[in-house]
Amino acid sequence: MTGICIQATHRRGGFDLDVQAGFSDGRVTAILGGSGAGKSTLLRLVAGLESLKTGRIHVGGRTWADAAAGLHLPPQKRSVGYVFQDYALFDHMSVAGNIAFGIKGSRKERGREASRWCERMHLDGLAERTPDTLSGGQRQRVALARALAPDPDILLLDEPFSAIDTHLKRKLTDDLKDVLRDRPRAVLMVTHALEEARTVADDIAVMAGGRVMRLGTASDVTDDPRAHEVAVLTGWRNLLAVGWMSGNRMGGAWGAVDLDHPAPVDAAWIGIRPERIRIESQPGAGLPAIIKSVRDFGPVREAECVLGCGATLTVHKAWDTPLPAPGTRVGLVLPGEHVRPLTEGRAMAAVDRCDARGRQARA
Amino acid sequence: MIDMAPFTLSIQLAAVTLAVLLIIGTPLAWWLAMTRTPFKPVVETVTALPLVLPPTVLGFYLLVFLGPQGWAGGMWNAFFGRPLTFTFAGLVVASCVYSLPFVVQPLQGAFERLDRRTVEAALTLGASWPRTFVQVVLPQVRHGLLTASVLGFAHTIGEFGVVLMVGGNIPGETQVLSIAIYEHVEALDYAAAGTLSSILVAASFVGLLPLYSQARKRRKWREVSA
Repeated sequence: MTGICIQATHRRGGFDLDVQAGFSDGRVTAILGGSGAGKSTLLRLVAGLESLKTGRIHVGGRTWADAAAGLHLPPQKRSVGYVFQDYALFDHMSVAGNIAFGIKGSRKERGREASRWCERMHLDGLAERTPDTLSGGQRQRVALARALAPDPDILLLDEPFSAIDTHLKRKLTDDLKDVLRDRPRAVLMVTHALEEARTVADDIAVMAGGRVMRLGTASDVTDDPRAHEVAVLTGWRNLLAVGWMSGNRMGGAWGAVDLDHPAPVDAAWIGIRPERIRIESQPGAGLPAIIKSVRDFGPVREAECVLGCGATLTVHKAWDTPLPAPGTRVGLVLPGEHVRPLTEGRAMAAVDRCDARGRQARA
Repeated sequence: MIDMAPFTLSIQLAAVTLAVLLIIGTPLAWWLAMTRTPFKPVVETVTALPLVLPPTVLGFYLLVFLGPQGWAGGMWNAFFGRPLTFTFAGLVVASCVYSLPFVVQPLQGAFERLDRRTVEAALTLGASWPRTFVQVVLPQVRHGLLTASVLGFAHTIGEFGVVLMVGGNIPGETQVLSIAIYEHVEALDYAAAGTLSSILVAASFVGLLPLYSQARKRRKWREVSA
């Protein structure tokens, strides 16, 4: 078992996709990106619903597509569990009929297996209903059961929470994590919500402009985005353009900070998490700034601070931390160990973890 | 006693024509609904021509095309040793052309409204194309299929000009209901014409009623579920 290896380009209507990435078995990878980043197209390529222009796709040591060899396995031959956005359930069939659709075997075996899945996905009592009479969460579970019942080699989830009410999302993401926990195979989940990605996934692949910009464990990617685009997509709000650097010191119109290690030469930005910034009331400490506003968001107290150059930094503290009133002049200290240098993004090579024969070298 | 042969012949013609049209029209409608070729409007226009052409114009071209000197008529003659015009087979061919848009357009609309992702879902679940079509596509387009069938059937029953041009007026062979009515009127036999006409009206009503009650039920159901 060697997971999914993709090295592929695809083109449709002026949109180019160029992806090189490896996804391991037993891990859930969230594909994170804005709309039009090519996330869904990537899933459709893997499932065989779109064909490659160049490159190849290997799954579990088998070649599913190889443009050079003219090989394109149809979706029926690929063993993919696909949960579509809005689920694409068969509304003219019962829940049990939906789940049994992809199961092989005699009618009796399929029925038995379908009712086992109903029980497992907490759908007991709903087996004979049609999906259009179910709630969003129930429909999602039917779609998951239908995709998992044939025991596919890989599981692809396209925005599984887009049709779910916000207040249910939290519980359902936990449920999904439970269902996926025992999967020995690779799971790819497309999402544009960082929160979903962090809750459900082990790894995160960040996509922008049809490319995988960064692929790594969820904590690595969110803690050290390395590229400006990745930082924006993983929720980094404090980004400052770098104008010059000298040794460990980087600066711009906003002032300068000292990193605890030399910055890469192509660093064009720095980023820092709002909770890492210290506010000092003595003048002379850190970057001079004026507090613009202080607001509470649940357990977080947020201060918007304007630097001399006009850039804004957001600072988060616990809700009971006293903060200076708006209008106060303060110093913002950006501790070097928490400052992340970021490249411009596009030029950074996508992570390549596939060797020529499609095997995966675990990074 | 009124001769019922024209009535039976009309029903036979409509049934055979509908069967042929569903076999030809379904793949054509599917292709029209799914294709991205720039020639789609051209094919759509050709398919829609029988809607706007006067039946006599269509009948004239069909007569030339299906006649012994025509391309199709000549081939038919060479193959089966008898002419195509003024026969039941000739009527079927002409009716298929005449009623084509009434079958293809509702089907095309139904295929266009189809949730394509359900088709893709079936494929990723390992279903073959025929199984996907029968179990996933057909149930979703059943209303379109019903509409196409009723319209195609009814339109064939009601045709006059094309049938007269291509089939003539041979009792028992090509004399369909509408032509029999015309002939009765010509002969000033209003009683016979009236009886046949009322049969046609009653049959059309009975044929269309289920279609519209279906649509009503669907609307109601939608309101309830919304």
